Amino acid sequence: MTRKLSRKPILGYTDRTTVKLDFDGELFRKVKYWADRAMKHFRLGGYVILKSSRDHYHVVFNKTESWERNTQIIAWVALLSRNAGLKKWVLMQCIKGASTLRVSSKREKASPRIVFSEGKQDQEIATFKRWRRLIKKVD
Amino acid sequence: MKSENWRNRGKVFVSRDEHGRFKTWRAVPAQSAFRSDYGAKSVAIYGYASIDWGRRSRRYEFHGNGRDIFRAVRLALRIVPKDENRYVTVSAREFLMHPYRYGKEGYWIDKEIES
Repeated sequence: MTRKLSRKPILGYTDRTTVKLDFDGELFRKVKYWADRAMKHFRLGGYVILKSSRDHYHVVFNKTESWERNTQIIAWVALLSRNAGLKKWVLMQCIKGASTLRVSSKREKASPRIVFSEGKQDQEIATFKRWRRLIKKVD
Repeated sequence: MKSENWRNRGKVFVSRDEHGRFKTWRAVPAQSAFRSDYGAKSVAIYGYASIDWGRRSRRYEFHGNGRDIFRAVRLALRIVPKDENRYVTVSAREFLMHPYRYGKEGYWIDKEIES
């Protein structure tokens, strides 16, 4: 059986004001624990957890923050959670100067889907969902 | 022109004559208008792509309205960022008007990449 080659690039959502996290190789309950802890510690209002693939999760928080504050939050979570994938992701976002989360499918992985939400969803999460719909339409 | 804070208009530039009588006014543009990239939401298109030979990671970041982004992404599937500038942040409308300023004909490659 031959695998169909998809010559498509990956589409993602990028901005500086949404606090996002990318947990690789982490259990759902731990992702939820860190999302809860970050939300309470930095008063981020609410969050959604998206399942990217098995044991890979994305977290998007509701409150609009500056890029300086954003990097402070994601670096805090990366350091305390000791997740190697998250640490690497944070460094890459700092180099770019904006954070990106994948929205489209990637090789055999489906596009990330929302599996859990908590708290307010009216600011950055609402915007994220709107852009996610647009990107999925393009994809 | 001096800036004043009006109750109904917010911060405005106002010109007055020597007696302090009002002449003209104009609104002060919002800070976000000066820093359009700051806080702008954008769509990232990234992956490995090839133009003539070899494969290198490349990336577009488009900001703008939905219709322009939709068209820019479609165009970006066959016009990939040039070797000279592989990481391009541009408004979708600007890319649609001058696609060959930012990219060249090429193709994206199905290969694992980090975001």
